[in-house]
Amino acid sequence: MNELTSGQVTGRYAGPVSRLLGFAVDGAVALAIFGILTTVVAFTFRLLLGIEIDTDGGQTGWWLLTYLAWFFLYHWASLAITGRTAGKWLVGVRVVERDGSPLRGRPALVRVLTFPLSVVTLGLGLVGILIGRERRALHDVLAGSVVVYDWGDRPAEMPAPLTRWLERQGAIENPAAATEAPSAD
Amino acid sequence: MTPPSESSGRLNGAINRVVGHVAPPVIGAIDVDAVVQRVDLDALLADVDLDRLLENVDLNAVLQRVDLNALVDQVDMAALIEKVDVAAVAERAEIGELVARSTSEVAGSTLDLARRQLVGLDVIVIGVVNRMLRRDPDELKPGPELLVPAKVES
Repeated sequence: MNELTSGQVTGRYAGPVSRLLGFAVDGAVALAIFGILTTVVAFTFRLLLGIEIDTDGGQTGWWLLTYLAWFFLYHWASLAITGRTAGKWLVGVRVVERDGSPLRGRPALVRVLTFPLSVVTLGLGLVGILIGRERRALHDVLAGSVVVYDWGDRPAEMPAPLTRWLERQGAIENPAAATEAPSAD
Repeated sequence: MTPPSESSGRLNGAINRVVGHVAPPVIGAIDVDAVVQRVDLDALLADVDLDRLLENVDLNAVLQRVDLNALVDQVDMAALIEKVDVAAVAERAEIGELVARSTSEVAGSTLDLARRQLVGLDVIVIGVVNRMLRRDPDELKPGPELLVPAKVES
C-alpha cells in the first residue's frame, strides 16, 4: 500500500515543483556568492599585488567557465556534506541514496558531473522527475540517488485542505476516522 | 477620743509623707543598669507563651487600621527600581533565549507554510500525471525503503 497518513510526506519522493524551485534558488544563491567572491578576490589582487582583474565582462568565456566550476563545487560540497544545497533546504527536500541512506561523496560527485547530461538532452533527462516511478532524473539514475521531502526536525506535510480533500477521496488514510470505525470482530 | 476613720486617714498621711521623703534617695541610690544586667532575659522570654499572646491579638483589626496607600506613597519607587539590576533579572529569566526561540519558531512556521504549498502543488501535478498514465498510485512506492517502510497488508 502507498497511502499517506494524515498528510505527512517526510521521506517520500519529492515532486517536480519543489525540485524546480529549489534549483532556481540554488542558481540565484550560487550566483550571489560568486559575485561576492569575485569582487573580494579582485579587490584583494588590486590592493596587494596591483593586478587588475576585469570583472566587467571583458573575458566572458573565462568568467562563464569559472562560474560553472563554482556552481559544480557549490553543489557537490553541499550535497556531500549535508545532502542538500541552500535551495533544497529552503524548499524542504534532500538528496539521499536510492535506499534512503545519506548520500556519500562519490555519488554526490557523479550526480553533479552528470547533471548537464539531463539538461543538454533537450531536457529529456529531467522527464523522469515527472513520470518516473521514483521521480528520478537522468543524473539521479546515474548517481543512484533520489530526492525526498525532509524538513529537518519538523514533519513535512501537505496543506490541510488538500489533506482533507484527499481523505474524502480515499487517497490517503484518515487516522481519526480509522480510530472511530468499529472493529471488524 | 477620735473616731477610727479619722485616725486611719491621719496614719495614711503620715506614711505618705515618710515614703515621700525616703523613696527618692533610695531610688536614686539603685543602679538600674546593674539590676537589669542581673536579670536573665532569655529565661524570662522562654517563659512567655507567644502563641497564646498572639491569639489574643486581632490582626485583621490591626491591618484595617494601617493605611497602605499612605505607606506606599512614602516609598521612593524610582530609587527602588534604580537599585534593581534589570539586566541580571532578564538574564535569570532567560528572556533573550525566549525571544530567540519564539522568533525562530515564527520563522520556521512561515517557512513550513510556504513548503506546504509546494508539496500541495507537487501532489496535484503528480496526481494529474498518474491519471494521464492510467497509473494506480497505490502501486507506486512512496519513498526509499529506509525512510518509508512498506506497509504490511493485514
